[in-house]
Amino acid sequence: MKKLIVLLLVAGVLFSCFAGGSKEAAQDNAVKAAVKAAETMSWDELLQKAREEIGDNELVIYGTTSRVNEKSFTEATGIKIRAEQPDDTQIYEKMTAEVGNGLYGADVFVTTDSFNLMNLAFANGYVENYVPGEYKDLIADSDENPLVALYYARLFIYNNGKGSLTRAITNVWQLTEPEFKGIEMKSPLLEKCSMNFLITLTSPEWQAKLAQAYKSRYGKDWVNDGTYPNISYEWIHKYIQNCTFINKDSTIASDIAKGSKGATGFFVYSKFRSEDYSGMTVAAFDGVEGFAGMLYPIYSVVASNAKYPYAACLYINYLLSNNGFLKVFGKDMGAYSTNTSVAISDGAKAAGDREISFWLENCVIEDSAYIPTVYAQAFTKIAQWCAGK
Amino acid sequence: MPEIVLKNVTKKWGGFTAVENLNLEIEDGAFITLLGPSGCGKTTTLRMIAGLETPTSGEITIGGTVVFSSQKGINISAAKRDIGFLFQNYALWPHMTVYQNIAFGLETLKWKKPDIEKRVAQMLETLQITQFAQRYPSELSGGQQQRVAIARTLAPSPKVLFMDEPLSNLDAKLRGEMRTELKRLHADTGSTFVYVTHDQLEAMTMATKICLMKEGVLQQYDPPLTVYNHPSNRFVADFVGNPTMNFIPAKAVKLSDNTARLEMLGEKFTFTSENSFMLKDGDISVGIRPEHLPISPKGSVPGQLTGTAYSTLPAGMETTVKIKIGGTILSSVMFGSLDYKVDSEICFTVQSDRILIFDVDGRCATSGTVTK
Amino acid sequence: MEKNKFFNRVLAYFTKPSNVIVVAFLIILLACIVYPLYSVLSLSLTVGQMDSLMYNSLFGLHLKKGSFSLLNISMLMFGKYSAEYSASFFWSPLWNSIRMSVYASAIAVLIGGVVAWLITRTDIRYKKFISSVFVFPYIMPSWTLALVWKNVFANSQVGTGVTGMLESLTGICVPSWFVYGIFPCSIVMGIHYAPFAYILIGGILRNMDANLEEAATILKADRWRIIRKVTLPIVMPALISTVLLVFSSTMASYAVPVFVGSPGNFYVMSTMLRALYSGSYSGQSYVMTLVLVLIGIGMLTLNQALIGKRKSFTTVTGKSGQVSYVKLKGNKLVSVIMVVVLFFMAIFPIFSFALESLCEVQGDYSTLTLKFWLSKEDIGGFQVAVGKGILLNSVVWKAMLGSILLSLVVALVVGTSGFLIGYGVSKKRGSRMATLLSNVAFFPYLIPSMAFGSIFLAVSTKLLFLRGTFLLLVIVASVKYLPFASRSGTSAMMQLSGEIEEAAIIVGAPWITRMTKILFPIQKSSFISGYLLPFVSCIRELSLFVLLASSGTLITTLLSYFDERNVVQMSNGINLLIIMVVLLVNFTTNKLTGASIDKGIGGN
Repeated sequence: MKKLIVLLLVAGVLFSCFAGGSKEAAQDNAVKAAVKAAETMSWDELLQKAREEIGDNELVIYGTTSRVNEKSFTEATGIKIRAEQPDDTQIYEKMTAEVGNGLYGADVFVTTDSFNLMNLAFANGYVENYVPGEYKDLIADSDENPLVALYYARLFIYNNGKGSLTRAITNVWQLTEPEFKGIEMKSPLLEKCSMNFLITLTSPEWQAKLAQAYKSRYGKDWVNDGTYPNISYEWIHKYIQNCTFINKDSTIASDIAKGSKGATGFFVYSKFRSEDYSGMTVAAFDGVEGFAGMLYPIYSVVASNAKYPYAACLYINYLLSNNGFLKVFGKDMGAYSTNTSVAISDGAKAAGDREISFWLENCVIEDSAYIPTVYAQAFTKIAQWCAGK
Repeated sequence: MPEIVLKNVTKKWGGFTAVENLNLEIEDGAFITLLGPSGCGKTTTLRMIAGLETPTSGEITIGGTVVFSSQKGINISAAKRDIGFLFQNYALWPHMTVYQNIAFGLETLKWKKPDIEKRVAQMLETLQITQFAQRYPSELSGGQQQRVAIARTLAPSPKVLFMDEPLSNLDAKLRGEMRTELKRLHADTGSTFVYVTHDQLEAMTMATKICLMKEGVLQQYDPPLTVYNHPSNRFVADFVGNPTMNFIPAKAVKLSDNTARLEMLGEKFTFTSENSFMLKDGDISVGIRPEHLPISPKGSVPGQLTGTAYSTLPAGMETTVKIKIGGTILSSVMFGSLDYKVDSEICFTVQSDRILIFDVDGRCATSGTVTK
Repeated sequence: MEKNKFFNRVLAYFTKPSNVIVVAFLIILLACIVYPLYSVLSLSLTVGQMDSLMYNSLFGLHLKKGSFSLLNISMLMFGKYSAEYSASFFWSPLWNSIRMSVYASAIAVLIGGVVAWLITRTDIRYKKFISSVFVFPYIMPSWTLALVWKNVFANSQVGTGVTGMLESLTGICVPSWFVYGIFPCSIVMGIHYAPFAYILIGGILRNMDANLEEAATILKADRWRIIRKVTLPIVMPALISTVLLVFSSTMASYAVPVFVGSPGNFYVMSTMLRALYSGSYSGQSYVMTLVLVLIGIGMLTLNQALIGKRKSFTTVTGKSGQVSYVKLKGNKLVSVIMVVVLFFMAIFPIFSFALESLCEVQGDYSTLTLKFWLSKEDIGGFQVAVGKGILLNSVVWKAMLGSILLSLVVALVVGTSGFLIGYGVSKKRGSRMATLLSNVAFFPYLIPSMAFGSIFLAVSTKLLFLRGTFLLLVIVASVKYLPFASRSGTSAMMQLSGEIEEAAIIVGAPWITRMTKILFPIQKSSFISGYLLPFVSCIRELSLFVLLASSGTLITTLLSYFDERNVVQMSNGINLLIIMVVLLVNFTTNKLTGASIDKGIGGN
């Protein structure tokens, strides 16, 4: 027994070693200043500054999308990059562990999920927002704080039975009906964007749109009988009941492509291309009343303890440039720059994609201002429905 | 009833022949030992009879029932051969108590519980292990485990009992006791015992018949004394008896049908047998048991040979004396305690009508007397 | 004087190698395990930053980040938010996890045990083939088996109506529960871990004195009664170890339940753990982790209770040379069935990886090409940069070598530790220290990989010299995989009677010689599997390392990169590559030492 006590003491001492090393997150004013200075610089000025700063070292990017690994930035600037692709949760976890402890890990974060970005990253001062001065006028104000580098589209897409099926979805309420049982989508429990999409739907704006669609589908006004807080929740609940959760976009795309006529999925538009897409129809082109999918923002921010803040700004600047967008994201459909002067690529156009203006009209856009205001209630309720299916 | 017959039984493992063309008949109620050095195939033979090993070819019959026949494709499982088997390492089940170990076989036979209890109690008592009934095997000494194993084997009263070197893990004293017990048990149960051992003394003292094997081949199958006195070849003669037989190289010249002249130990002898025998002139070996080389005071008897004391090994009841004569060392056994000084002169005679002549191939040609 | 006496006693205590081992490992393990456990406990009793936002908003509170609260527990388990919430997030997944783990353990033990028995005790044919191929499902990541399951059984009546292999060959449509839900989850996990049962049980069976079974045969017990009354109780420790490991692994498994479970609305604790963790309820996810650990402790306790002390399992007196094989009725049929089943379990997935990696167009077998293996040019046509063909791709090779190096180091550390722990525990068998050590060594297994990685990420921000280093990966993986080796080491050592070492002590052999020349060689195959199993697990591990290793340092991060980006040719090819490396290592080990993952049971 004595030996045990001694051992526990030893273990205790070791703990205190672990626990003792905690440091306050140091706000790096130099980064703040650099970001501020960069905002007014032109591409060439910034490029020069960045090159001076980084020399032969690597710019480190944590990106939720693999595109950040694209080497074209290096070709354009001569600055080397190292990109890592943890998922959302991991990005925020690494951010907290690293920036929160004053440890350098990355210079740029390219990430999704407005809730964590606002309440964790910005609230704790882990990141700095940078908007390139030269594009400031070309980016909508709502996309500037925090900066959305681009939007991705996730859409309702169905198998058209080799062209034999037309106008399958005309009203978004159809998706809650038994005919559409088995819509495949990523579980909102495991994927933030899908959750944020549903949460955004609960906003007054979307309540109104859903009510309108409801009336045109069922010929009567939606009446709150007390089952749901509002119309959006009814749609969400019934829709979730209709869903089958498959947790990989490419699997969903292939399930729809190889499935039977009418099989419907909700997946990122860019995966459309991986399959034989002549057999699939994007519901949005049918003209769906209500909405036909969602646009989710890819944010791009500078780490507040970045080693190379100018290079980091340069990278973000590059993502928003015409050349940068087309090289990094624009090869396929489903990605849309927030820089209104940047059009989608010819390839995407040829494959049937349309400009962002079309999608802004037809999709739910993740609302970084609205989401944090209702997050706890909406998330918990929707999560409970998903889990309790 | 349980007469066991082996016909042309052969067991091969790949290219290695463990038992070759073995023919054996074991009478009901016999106590047979399978004797031989390790690796001679005796355990394999036992396991084949028991049904734990499948012969490559041949036929085995137990009590008139063919239990194995390679020709007829019969192979009755060990469970149905109505036998008992005592393993060398006892094979007690470590997760069962002594009681459970012994009761297992009876439960398998669907005995009624009171009957099982009675029988187990009886076995425990017979083997004097009653106090250990609730212990696990790991909590017992080797001797106690041995007894439990015997009790377990005997509990269902098998008509045939196979034992695979059951005493080899015991100390000498315990081994002696167990020998007596086993022989007694044989008498009490009237079962047929087949016993594997590499200890010739065990075989000699316990068996009604010894089956001596070497490298998978049967050497001799006879009652112990026959094996001792009339070994079929030099291997058997050498293996049986302690101290071992003296083998003296000699040159023989056949004189008549039943006599020959022998030249050995630097002297000339005449060998006479009661029967006529065949022998090629030339190198042979003469086998003389140690007890047939009595030592006598110098000049007290005719025909004495003279050597020197190489070493004396008194054991109390008898003494083994190693005598050096020429380049050869002979063993002689005498009753009582003797002691000879090393290198002192010793006179002895060759005195027996059971002197053995082995030809160059080791075959025993005949037995008889030698005179100087 | 008194002091001197105490000092001498301590000195005497530590002159015994077994004491040094037990004490040293206890200290190391406590440091590596107690901290994570302590973190889990404290994190489940405090609110994190996101938690506080959620709780404050939901319940109108003013909790600060890091303050003590039972809300995590009450909301998750006791209906603080709603009874439905607790049921959906906790109680129903808990029940599902337990059911799935029980089924998976039963399936693993049944399949593994039967195959072990067939190989060691019967004259079944193709032993060598069966024995070496049977371990494949363990080498492959579990989700690949789930993928095969889906590809075989999906049909026009299920989901979106993708036609699977079974339907296209026979027209048979299995019902939905057969494709998605608890049924496929349990079967796939069971098959994945069956080799594990096979290895553990087979090892005991092979070392077990065959006379024990023969003694029962002689006493007229039929085959079934022998198995029930003799064989099973004797292999019970291995069986329980297997159940313990399979149960815990299945409890913590994530990929398979997500892949074939959630489409059937089948949720388990690990799915919900991840959902909560990424869904701003990290405190609740730690409560979940804690529950997983507690269940594991329960299993451990049960294990202790089931294996009594008195029934000594020191039964191995050496190798019993003469094992007579049971003659199988319908041997040919059984053998052929085994081979066919194995084909689907083991060969087919590998074959399909190979085929997929050769398709220019995914799934179109008329477009076979070698370019994903051999292309000297960068491969285009994908949304991401792919690089050269696998065999010429420096990124792939760098990651592969990184993984191999890590796995080798981990295997060496873990295997040796397992051997030493086994020695220490068996020498001091029954003592409180030994029991504690063997239990503590099992603990890391109970903490899900993801939580484990996350805790060590936190540790590395405090111990900066470890941060981002290879050493950190080695430490994490070593601690995580220790249970494999310490289990096999302990059971192997337990089977050796003390006399074997004592004999060597008598002739004056020093400790190190006794270990390397006597004890290790006797139970060589068990110990070597203590090296190989961690190697296999480590080389295909992802979730443990994903937070700790930068991408591209390990092959699995690269695999998941290509997999998520839908470059299936590359991901399948890399998967094949990993399996090949494991097989190669196994083969080399086998040639060099005679031991192998499957221990060559019956095959040699």
